[in-house]
Amino acid sequence: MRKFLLAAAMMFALCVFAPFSFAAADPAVTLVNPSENEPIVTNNFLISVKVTQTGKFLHVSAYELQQKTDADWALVQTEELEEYDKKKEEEKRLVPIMETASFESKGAVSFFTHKVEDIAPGVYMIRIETADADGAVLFDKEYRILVKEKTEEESKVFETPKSGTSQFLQSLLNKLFKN
Amino acid sequence: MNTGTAVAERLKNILLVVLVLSTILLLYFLWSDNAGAGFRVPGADGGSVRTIPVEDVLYPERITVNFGAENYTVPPETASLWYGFAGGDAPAFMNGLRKFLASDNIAVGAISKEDFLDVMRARSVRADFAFAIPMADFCAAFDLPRPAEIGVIDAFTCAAYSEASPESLFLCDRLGDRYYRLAMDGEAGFKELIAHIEASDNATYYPLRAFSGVENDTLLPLDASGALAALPYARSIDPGDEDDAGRMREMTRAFFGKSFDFTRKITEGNGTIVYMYGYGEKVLVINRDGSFEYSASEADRGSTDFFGALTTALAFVASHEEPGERAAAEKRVYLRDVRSSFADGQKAYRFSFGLDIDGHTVYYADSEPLAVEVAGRQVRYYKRDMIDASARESGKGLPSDAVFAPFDLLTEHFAYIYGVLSEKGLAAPPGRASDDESVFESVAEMVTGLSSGLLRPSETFFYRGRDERGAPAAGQNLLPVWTLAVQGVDFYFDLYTGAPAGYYGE
Amino acid sequence: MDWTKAKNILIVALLVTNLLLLGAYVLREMQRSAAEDEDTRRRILTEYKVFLETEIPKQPAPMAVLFVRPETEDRARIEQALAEQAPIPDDDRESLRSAANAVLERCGLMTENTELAAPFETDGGATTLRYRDVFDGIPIEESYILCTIKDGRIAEIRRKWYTPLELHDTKGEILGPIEALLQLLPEKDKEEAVVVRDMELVYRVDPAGPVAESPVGDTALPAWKITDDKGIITYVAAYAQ
Repeated sequence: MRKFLLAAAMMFALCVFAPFSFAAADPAVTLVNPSENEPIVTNNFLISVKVTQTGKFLHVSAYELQQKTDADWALVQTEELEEYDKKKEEEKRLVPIMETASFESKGAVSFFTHKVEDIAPGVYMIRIETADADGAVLFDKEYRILVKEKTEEESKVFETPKSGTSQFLQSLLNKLFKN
Repeated sequence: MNTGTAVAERLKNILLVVLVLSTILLLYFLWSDNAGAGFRVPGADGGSVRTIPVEDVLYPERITVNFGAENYTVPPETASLWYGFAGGDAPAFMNGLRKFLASDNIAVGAISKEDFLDVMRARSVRADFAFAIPMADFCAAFDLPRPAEIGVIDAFTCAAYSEASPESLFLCDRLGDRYYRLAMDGEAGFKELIAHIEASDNATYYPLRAFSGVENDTLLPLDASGALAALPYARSIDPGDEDDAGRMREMTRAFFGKSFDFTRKITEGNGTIVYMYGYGEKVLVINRDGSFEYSASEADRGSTDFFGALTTALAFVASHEEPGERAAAEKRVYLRDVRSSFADGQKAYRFSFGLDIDGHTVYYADSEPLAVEVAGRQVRYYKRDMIDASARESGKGLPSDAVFAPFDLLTEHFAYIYGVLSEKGLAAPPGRASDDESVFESVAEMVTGLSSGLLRPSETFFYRGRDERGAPAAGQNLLPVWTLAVQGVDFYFDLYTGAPAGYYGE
Repeated sequence: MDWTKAKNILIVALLVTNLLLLGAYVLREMQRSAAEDEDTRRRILTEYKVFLETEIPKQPAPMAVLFVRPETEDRARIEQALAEQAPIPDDDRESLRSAANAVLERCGLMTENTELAAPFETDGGATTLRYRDVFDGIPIEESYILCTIKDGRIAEIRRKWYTPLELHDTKGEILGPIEALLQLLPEKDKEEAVVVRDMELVYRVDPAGPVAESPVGDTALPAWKITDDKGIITYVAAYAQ
C-alpha cells in the first residue's frame, strides 16, 4: 500500500511539475529573430517574437553566457559551448543584457520587438516565458544564439567577363577609336 | 576750260556716290523681300527662357546602406549622395560611375541575381531608381564616357557597390531582371561614400525578414523621431477667386500664345472652363479646384530619346506654372515615374512628377501633382494639380510625440491592406482556409517600401472644407503620414496614431 | 591712270545696274499685286466653277470673339403663353408679326438682340416666322426662334439661343470674302458647278464642342456663312491666320 501511495505521489508530482521540467514551448510563440539555427555576425539584436494568439502574456529576457576562467568571468565563445555545458554551476553564469520585458499579445498576429545594442561575439540566451493572467508561468523556452566574430570580408570572386585575348583586342580597338 | 571741267568732275563724283548708294539700297530691298516680310525678332518671348535642370528632378528613389553585421540604414536624402554636393568633396555615386566608365581596362559582364544579392549581403551601398533609365542616353546626357563594353546594358534601375567585390560596380535592371557587373582596376571612392554615410546620424533599419520571419528584404526603421506636423495648404490657383483671375489669364496665355485671342472659351455648369483653339489642336481644361489639363494634337513626327523628351517636358513645366510669387514653403518637383509608349511609329514618354515641400514628400490621396507626355519634340499632354503650403515658422508646432512604429502598421492593419488589394485584384481573395497568420505573411511578402511625408487628403475632404464664400476653410491641412508601398499601391497611415488615411494606386 | 574716263565708265555701268535692279523690283511688285488683284481671284473662282449670284461683301474691319451664354428653354412658360394667346385677327404679314411678337414678349424671349428674319416660310397651311439673334448688326449662328402659325394661332415656338454677353478686348484681322470662297475649293469637286446665292459674316458657335453636358458659357467666333443655290450652308472660319 505504501509503495503504491509513493508511486502515485511521484506520478502526481511528475504530472504537476511536468510542464516545468520539460520546458515546453508555447506553439503560438516563435522567436523570429535572431535566428538560433546558424551562427550570425552582428553587433546588435533585433529580438522579434511572433505570437499567433491573442491574450497571451509574455516575459522576454536575454542573457550573455559567461564562464569563469581562472579568476575572471568572460563571454563564452561558440567553440567553447560544448565545454561550457559540462562545467560546474559555480563556473557558469547568465548575465542579463536587457531588463525583462513584458508583452501582452493583441489580435490574431502580433509581434514583440526589442533592440539590444553592443553585442560582442559570443553565445547568448533568449528566454521567453508565457504566463497566464495571474502570473503563473505556463510555458518556458530558451534559445541559444551564436554570434560570430566578424571575419575578413570574403571577397566574391566573379568570373572575368571576357577572356584574355578578346579583352586585349577590345581594349586595343578602344584605344584606336577612342573619341 | 579748267573751271568747267573741275565742276563737271565734282558733279560726276557726286553722281558716282549717289549711284553706288542707290545700287546698294535697291539690292537690299530686293533681297530683304526675298528673305521674308518684315524684321524677325529672334526669340518671340524675349528675355530669358527658364527651365528646370535635369539634375534637379532625376535622382534615386532610395539609397540603402548595409554597414555589415546586420546594420542597415536608409539615408533620408538621395540627390546629394547621387550627384555630390555642389562644390563639396564628399564622394558620390556619379563620381564613382564616371571613374568606372573612364577606366582603361573596364570589363562589363552579366551576372546572376543570386550572385548580386549574395554580394550585397556584405558591407555595401545601393541606389535604386523608380524607373528604368536608358544607359546610352544617360551617358550622353551627363557627358559620361561611353566605352563599347557598356553597349550590352540597355537600361538600368539601380547602381550598387559592395566591399565584397571592391573592384566592381553593379548595375541592375529590375524590370528586365538583369544584373551587370562593371570591373575596373583601382578604387572609385565608394568605400569613402559608405564611411561618409556611416559618420552621419542614421536611423537603424532592419529588413522585414528580421521583424516577421517573412522572406522580404525591404528595410523598415524600428522607430523614428517625429518632426512632421500638419501643414496648412491651399491650391496654387483658385478659379473661383476674383483675385486669381488675372493670374489665370496670364497662365492661359502661356498655353496659347498669340492665338489666345482667338480661342473658344466654354464655361461648364460645374465651373470647369475649357479653352479650345482650332478644331481641338489645343485644348486647356481648367477645373473648379484649380487643377488643369492641357492637350495638343499638333503632330510632330520627329523622334526623341529619354533625355530629349525630359528636357522638353521640363522646359514646358518651367514656362507653364501658376504665375506670381506666393509667400510659401519651398517646393520642388521630382521625377517619380516614366512610361514609354509606341504608337503610329513614334515613341512617346509620360513623365510623372512628385512634389516635395520643405524637404518632405507630399503624397496625393487621389491624384498626382504633375504629369507631362511628350511625343517627338512636342508636349502632347500636361496635367498640373499644384498646391502651396505656408512656410512653417521655425520651431513652431513640431510635435514631440513618438511616431507610430512602422512595423506595427503591418501587424495592426494587415487585414485591411489585404482587403484593399483583393478588391483591386492584386491579391487572391481570402479563402476559407486562409487564417490570419497566412494573410499576414502574404501581405508582409508584398511590401516594397516605407517612407514618411505629408498627405493631401482626398477631394471629399477638400470640398467639405469650404466655407460659405467658397474659399478653402482655414483647416485645410497636409497630414503627416507613413506611406507603405505594397504591391504597387501606396497605403497612407497617420504618422502618430497609425490610423489608415487612404491609399493610391492603379 | 585716266580717272576721268574711268569715272565715266563707272557712272554708265552703275546707271545700267540701277535700271536693271529697279526694273526687277518693279516687275516683282507688279506680279505680286497681280496675284492679289481681285479680278485674278474672281478668275480663279470661275475657273473652278464657283459662280457668284450675289454681291461680294466688303472687307470687314478686325473683329474680336464674342462671349455668349447658351439659353435653355423654359417649356412651361412657353406653353402657358401659347395657351393664353389671343387669336390672330388676319393672316397678313403685319398681324402675324405683331401676334408672334406679343407672345414672345410674354415668354420673355423678345430681347434687344431678337430680330425677325425676312422671308416668311409657308408650307401647306402653316407659316413659320424665323427670328434671328443679332449682335451689333452681326447675326449669331446658330441662334434662332421659330414661330409656327397654323389655323389663325401660334401653334409652336421652338428656340435655340445664345445671348451675347461681351466682346473680348483684342481684335483680329478678318479673312477677305474672296479668300473665304477660295477655302471652299479643296473640298470641292472640280467639275461640279457651285452657285453662291448668299454670303454674310456671322458669329458662330461651333456645335461640336469638347464638353458633354450643356455649358453655361461659350464663345462665338467670326465666320463667313456661304449659302449656295441648293440651300447648302458652309461656314468658313474667318480669322486670317
